[in-house]
Amino acid sequence: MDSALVVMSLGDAKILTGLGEDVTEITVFLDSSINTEEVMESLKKRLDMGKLELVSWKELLAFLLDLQTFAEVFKYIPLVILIVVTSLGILNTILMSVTERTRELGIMMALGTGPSRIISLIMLETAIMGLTGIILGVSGGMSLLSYFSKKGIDFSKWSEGLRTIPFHPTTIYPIIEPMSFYLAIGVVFVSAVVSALYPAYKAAGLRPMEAMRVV
Amino acid sequence: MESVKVLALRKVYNEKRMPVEALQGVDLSIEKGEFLALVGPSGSGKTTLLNLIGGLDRPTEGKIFVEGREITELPSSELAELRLRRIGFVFQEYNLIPVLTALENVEYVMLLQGVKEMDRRERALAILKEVGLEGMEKRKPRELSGGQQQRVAVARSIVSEPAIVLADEPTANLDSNTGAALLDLMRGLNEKKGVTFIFSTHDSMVMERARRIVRLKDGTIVA
Repeated sequence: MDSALVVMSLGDAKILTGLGEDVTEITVFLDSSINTEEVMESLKKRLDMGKLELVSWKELLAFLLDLQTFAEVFKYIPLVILIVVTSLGILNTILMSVTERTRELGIMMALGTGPSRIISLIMLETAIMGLTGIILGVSGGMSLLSYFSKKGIDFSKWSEGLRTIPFHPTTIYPIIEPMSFYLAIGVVFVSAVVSALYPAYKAAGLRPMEAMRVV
Repeated sequence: MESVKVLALRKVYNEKRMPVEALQGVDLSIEKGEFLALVGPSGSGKTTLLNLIGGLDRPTEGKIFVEGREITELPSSELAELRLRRIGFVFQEYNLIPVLTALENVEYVMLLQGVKEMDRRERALAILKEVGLEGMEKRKPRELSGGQQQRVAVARSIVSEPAIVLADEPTANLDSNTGAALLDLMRGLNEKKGVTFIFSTHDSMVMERARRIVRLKDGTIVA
């Protein structure tokens, strides 16, 4: 018992509310929220709707629906952050690696390495780095995910807050949608390659004599 | 046939702020198979002239012909191709690629040229042996002395048997025995294969071995 909830025996409750053998509410749990409408329809047909009221969670807990829409939109914010961070990170890394190797690139060009070869060299380096990062990131992420999808993330410490959503479990088992998985990989790879273009062209435009003078 | 020809060549560095006229109208014609030394005090324009002939830099005015082809207006990709196929360089500061071993440095140009790996390795090992670096093939440039690095640089410049070798002070950091050995090696290549050699030098040993000496002073040819 606390300030919001009292647990008592059914008998005491009947006496307290004076309802006798009646019930006030039957809550139906479904396996999935997707077929709510279907179940509602078939219940409507079978029950005497004159005396009863049938309410779905969407009407009863409208804020949950808002929360869901909210989450849908917010899903793209990490994606935008991902693009910005990846691009800037890669740009900085590749620009540094080109600047550090100015002299080396100058020697290579003096010996007859053409501009297109310099560009492909730097793009290839970036692609290899990007793929390595993706492999490390995916394996790290997947092992975290598989651990928590078995063990679950325990939210019982925040049960106070979660109580506003009735019957919400205190332990959450995360899953990943294949779509967001591929999207993240694609976004990382494409932004890496795109942000390497500038350093690559910059390197290809070096003049061998000036580049070789850089220490 | 003329290997290299330059006409009224001018090069001005730092044109806008503090113009330095490195070359002031140089005319020079070099035949195929020459063994030529550019001689003159430092600042006389020797290095500038070599860099311009090799397409590493562009002249302010004038024309450069390499094997009859004007290179002054070529785009940088074609200049790179010309350097790769026809020209070997030996730079004053060796300019070896620091992350590659001596062997890999010598192989690099052949790699760009598309020479097969077996062939490449064999030729690189042979030339390193010829310049007296047997047993040092796996060393990185910083594990070699200045003279050894210069020998790697010479090996790199001649291994692909270019038509022209441009060498900026190739013996400056070598003791006289090593320097003489390298010069004999280059001279042999010059006589057997008809490779044109153009050196810049202060070294009397190089001048003695050169078949033609061109003297530069303040950016002009004096003799």
